[in-house]
Amino acid sequence: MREKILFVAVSAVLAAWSVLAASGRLIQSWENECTLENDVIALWQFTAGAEGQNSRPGAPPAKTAPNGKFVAEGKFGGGLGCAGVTTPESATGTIVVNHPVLSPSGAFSVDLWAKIEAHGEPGTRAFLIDNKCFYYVSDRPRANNGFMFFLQRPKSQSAGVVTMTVGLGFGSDSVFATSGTVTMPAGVWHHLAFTYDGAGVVKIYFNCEKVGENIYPGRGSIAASTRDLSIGDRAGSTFQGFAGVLDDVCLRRGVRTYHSGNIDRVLTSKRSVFNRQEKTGPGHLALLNNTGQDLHKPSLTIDFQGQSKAIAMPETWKLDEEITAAFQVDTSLRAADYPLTYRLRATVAGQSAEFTGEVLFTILNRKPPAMPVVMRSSFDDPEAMLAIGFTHANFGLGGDSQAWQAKKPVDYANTPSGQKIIERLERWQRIGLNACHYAGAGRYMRSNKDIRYKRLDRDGNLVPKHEDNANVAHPDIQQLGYDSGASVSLSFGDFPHFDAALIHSEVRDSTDLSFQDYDIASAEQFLGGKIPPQAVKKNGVNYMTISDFPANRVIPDDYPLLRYYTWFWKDGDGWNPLNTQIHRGLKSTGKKVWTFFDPAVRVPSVWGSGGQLDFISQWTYSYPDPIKIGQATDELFAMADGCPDQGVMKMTQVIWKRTQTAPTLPKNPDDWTAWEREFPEVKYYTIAPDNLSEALWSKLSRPIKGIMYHGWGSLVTLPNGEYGAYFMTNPETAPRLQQLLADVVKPLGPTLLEVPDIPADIAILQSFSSQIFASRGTFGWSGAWEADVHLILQWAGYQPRIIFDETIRRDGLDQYKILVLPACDVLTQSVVDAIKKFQERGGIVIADQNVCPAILADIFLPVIKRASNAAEAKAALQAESRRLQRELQGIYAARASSSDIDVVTRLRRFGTTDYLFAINDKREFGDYVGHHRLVMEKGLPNQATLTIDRPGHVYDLVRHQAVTSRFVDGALSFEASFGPGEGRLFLISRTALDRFRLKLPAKVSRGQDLPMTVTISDRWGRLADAAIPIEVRITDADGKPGEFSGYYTAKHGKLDLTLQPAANDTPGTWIITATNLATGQSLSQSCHVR
Amino acid sequence: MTMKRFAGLFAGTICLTIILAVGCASPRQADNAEARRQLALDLAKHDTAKAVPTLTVLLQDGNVLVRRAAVRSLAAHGQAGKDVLHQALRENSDEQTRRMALQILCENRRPDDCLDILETALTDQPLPVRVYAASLLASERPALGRRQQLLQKASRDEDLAVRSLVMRATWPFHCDTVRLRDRPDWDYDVVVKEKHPLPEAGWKIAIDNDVQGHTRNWFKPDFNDSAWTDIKIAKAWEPQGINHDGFAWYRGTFKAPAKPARFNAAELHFGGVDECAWVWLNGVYIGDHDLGPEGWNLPFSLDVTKVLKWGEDNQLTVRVHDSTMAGGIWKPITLEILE
Repeated sequence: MREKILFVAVSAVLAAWSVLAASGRLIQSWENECTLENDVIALWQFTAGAEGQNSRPGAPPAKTAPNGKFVAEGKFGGGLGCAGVTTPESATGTIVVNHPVLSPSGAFSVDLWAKIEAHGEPGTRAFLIDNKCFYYVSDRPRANNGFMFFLQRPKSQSAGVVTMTVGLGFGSDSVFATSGTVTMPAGVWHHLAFTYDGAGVVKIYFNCEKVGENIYPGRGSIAASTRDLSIGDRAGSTFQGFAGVLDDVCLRRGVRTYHSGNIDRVLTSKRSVFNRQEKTGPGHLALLNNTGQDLHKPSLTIDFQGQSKAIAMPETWKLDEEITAAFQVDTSLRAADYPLTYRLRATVAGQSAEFTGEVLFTILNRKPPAMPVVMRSSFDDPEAMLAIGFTHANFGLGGDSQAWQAKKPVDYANTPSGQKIIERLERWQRIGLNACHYAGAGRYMRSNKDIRYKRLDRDGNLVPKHEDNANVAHPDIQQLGYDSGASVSLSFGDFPHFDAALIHSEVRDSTDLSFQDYDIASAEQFLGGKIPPQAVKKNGVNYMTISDFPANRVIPDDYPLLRYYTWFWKDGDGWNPLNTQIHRGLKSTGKKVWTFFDPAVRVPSVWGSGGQLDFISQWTYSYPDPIKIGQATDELFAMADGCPDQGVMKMTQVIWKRTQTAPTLPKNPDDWTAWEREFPEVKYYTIAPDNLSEALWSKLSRPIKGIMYHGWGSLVTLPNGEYGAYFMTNPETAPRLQQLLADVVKPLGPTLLEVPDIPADIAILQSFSSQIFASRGTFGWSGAWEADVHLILQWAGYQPRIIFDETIRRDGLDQYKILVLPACDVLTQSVVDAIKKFQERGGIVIADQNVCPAILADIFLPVIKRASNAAEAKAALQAESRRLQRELQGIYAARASSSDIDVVTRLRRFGTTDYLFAINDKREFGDYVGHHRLVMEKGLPNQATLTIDRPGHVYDLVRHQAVTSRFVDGALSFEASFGPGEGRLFLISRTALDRFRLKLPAKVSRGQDLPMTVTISDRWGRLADAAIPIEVRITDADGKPGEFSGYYTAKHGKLDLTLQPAANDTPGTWIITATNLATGQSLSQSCHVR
Repeated sequence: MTMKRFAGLFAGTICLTIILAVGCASPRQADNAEARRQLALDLAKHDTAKAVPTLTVLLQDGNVLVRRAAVRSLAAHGQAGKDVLHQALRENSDEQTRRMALQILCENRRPDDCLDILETALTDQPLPVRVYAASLLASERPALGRRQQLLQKASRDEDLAVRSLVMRATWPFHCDTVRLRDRPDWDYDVVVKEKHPLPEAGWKIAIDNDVQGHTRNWFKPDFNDSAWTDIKIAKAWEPQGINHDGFAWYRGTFKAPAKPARFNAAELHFGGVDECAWVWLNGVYIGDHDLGPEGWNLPFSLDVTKVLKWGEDNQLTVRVHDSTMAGGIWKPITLEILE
């Protein structure tokens, strides 16, 4: 049972001590000035006239540091004034010369009084007492002895909220125990303390209430410090000082017992925020008698959600004993805050006393469906992220160290670190931001120095990148993957808005071949023989260096080197199986969480990258041509095609890399743009807004299941003038993204999630064999010739699908009319056979000069070396687009086309309805980065005639209106205009969307279901064979937005939705409004809720 | 008569010819390019006597893809088809039709067995035919006699694509090393921490008139170059008394500094080599700078991280090609330590 409940920070506790006035306030011993008891090793009281002296005779005295001083205004007379961080930097507080007694053997305790005068910047530390110096893990000499006690202001918390950390050095390593957050307003004295039992248990106290407990099995005494003891600053440092006054700093032998004088609420349910109708188990409330005395004849009552419940109590509630009470949260009630109040009456010292406390529970409305929009940042600014339109943000939930230490899945929710995670999870849930866990078990193992977990080359030496890339193929690390995922799921799996996990990032870039015994055994088992000796580099072996390589560059499918590299990139380096293990671990408790890996195509073109996760993704810079986002997305679809049921997400960098877009400042400062003047040294800055818009439309035109952005620091100005690696240099970008998410992604997202791609009739082969034997491939960077070929096809109005060798082997080429072979120097026999068969039946092959000599191409596409000038590069590629159109004229035409080469079209289809995307790629050099001539970042207005080879009715899904069209010679045409970087989406249906109906009952009782149905049909009542975006607005009897207000899709012309008025909803009239986002038609109906 | 009307009339003539010759297509089918292309493909399976004349007509079709389909089908008709393809190689106005004809004519033949065809192809004006010819010429090693001469000719082609192809195909040295700053996975700025200029004096040079220096191991560290001519770098070879256009080899030695405690890569930076360079360090081929004449004044760097001997003498060999005017290593070479 205890595993299901959680330690709660004192800051959240609202318990009050309200003894009857006649009895007066019970003062606890800790509130008095410290006395020289037998357990005191050293006590600095800073008493006037004897300021530096130690009250314990013989114990070492203190001498003020340059920025410390003894002051008269201590808690009990004199105190130690500490100046915090000063300019010029100099130590503050006081320094005590090192002495053996200052590193107690066995158990010891430290307590002191502190009055903060000024809080530091978010994230800063304020040291209280320290003879250890290193507040992080380090193997440097002298880093692991002594002890330290410091405050830290969390980055995401307001001033006054701090955590306390105890660091203990054990000779070869250290541990750091941290409390939950506590509120420590300036100008108020607080009692701070910790105890160490000499055997691994650290407890931290705030005003004598326990706010943290960490257990480190197998530990003994701390190692003797070799440093002077610093009080009020970090030992040996000058910039992490405490700002305020300290008093009665006491070092004691043994574990001190502290009592707050209160009834402490030490445990409650893990969760206090729930979604409506969520199934929940019983909650628990645990109270601790921390009054300093036994309580006689106690009676405890809980009032919650309109119910009052008496809890059975013992005759005497003994000091330090806990009492646990159970209660049930009714999640069927309306969304609101529900305080749980507990009231304890007892006799204390012969007088009646009453203690009350309150715990707040919240019930939230369930969310309507939405396309996930993830911010790839763990920055804790949920309000700002929500305001822009993000649905998720990254959130590291840990699990790696816990699982590695335990060698099994562990529930660590009931630990200080787990408590912090839960506090943040609930804060996010309360305001509506979902959490996307970052799982990085393989990354975690980078710092492990055990040679078994390293990659070794053929000679047994560590590979160059061994510190970046652990040998995750090792079975221990594979097991860690599962255990880590399962630990997170055990600990936080019941938080419904933690529903996503990014599993690793950028791990394949630094992978390498490895020849540990287990690597060799695994490879040889796969190969059925030895590893070919030429395999020494991960990217392959150039065919020109292989003496007996076939002259026609056609190799057998079982060519040993090819098989070895296939094994390596699929399974051999361990990353894909490890991701799969984490995925399985996360889902091991039945947790509903979608998993993804990004970037997934920083590898050759062979299926399996990312493992068997739910989705794969890829981050891509949008420059120089934002439609490259479409190319990168198509690569993901090609990769995911090899993993059953795997979907695709797509990420765009909000950051632009300076060296690739605006590398050097113009010689004349007069030519610098505003951001170059303000941030001349930045390395990563903000994407241009028109480019961002075009990139978004490029990915939306593919059937992706989610969107991600990275680079929070380039999107917003961080609070407190904080700067990380990224700088916000364009204030127009965030509002543009906000507008796009609000106007496009949010209303259309549920529909786009339902609309599949059309079957492609053009394929681009990304040849794994050519990548391995001729150093080809984009490796996900979209910068190679193969990627430019994709752009050529896009500008030509074609809709290519990227395929791999494996795709051809599995599916053949029957569905295609055109096969494009860029950089396909070396092919396997099966691929060549398929291509020849394809050509025999009339398929057209387009290839460059590097194509395998066995292939006879129909159209030659010469390799174009991309010019650095972005306008010249685009013009050269578009010239090839036009040439391809000319050569294919009369033989092949795309189903949809645009009259303007700068309007890129793409089709998707649901039933008999087409969804035509049109993206304006007309750009020029602007005044943001255009002067560098590397990116045309300024979008221009444009217009085009769009044509599709079918009859039908056209609707604009962004502007929500019908579009006038003409049907001539078997094709439907209509005009479209575009703003800079703008995309448009048109629905083309077989029948007109004439009739729009909303049906719901006239009356319903509270607590009963309220079904509603929306239908779209033609004038004869035939339901539309389409997925149509619908907006539903629900207004309850109080005039507030009701649950399920949001955006939906009417599949096959129909949307069914069941509302659930709560038993405690206000009776009255509910108004439900549905809007057809294809036609703009809107209907309202009312329902009387009794 | 407009070009459009002429094309229509021509296409109609072809349709009529096809129908008369083969009797296998309806006028409606033959009236559009797609049908004519399908017809051309189908003719691969027809009787040669009937199919070849029709395919010959289709080789002049107004739609280039119809022509190319005809090429493909002619390959199925033995010598009669090849005779037509020979003619197409010389005369067809579509360069891709010529390229495909060339490819079919040389298919399954050793390059030495089709040198006449390849020599013709090397004179083709547009690039695709020359590219294919060059790649076929270079597809077998060693290249001797007339094929070697043709490769020499191709190596002087005006287009870099042809030159590179020949060079890549015949050059026995290869280096895959990617410079730190060119690595796509290196998402950090690269900073030059240290620069160590190589000595400008103490170098040797030898002319390589028959372009066989590499087969004579002139790049080996222990090669005896004592008979070579003394020369300085950072200065073209003409002012130093060597009036030469063509290949020449430099050899020299420099002492590398002690291995730095922290670095990510080491590179040799060439300020300028007029025009092309192929470079070995300690006998290991480390890459080239082969942009043709336009590369004469462009600096370049080659990664030596794994080849450099820290704190020891290192032997450097540079093969230089110059086609006109001044030539040689005319700017300094610097060892750069990068982080």
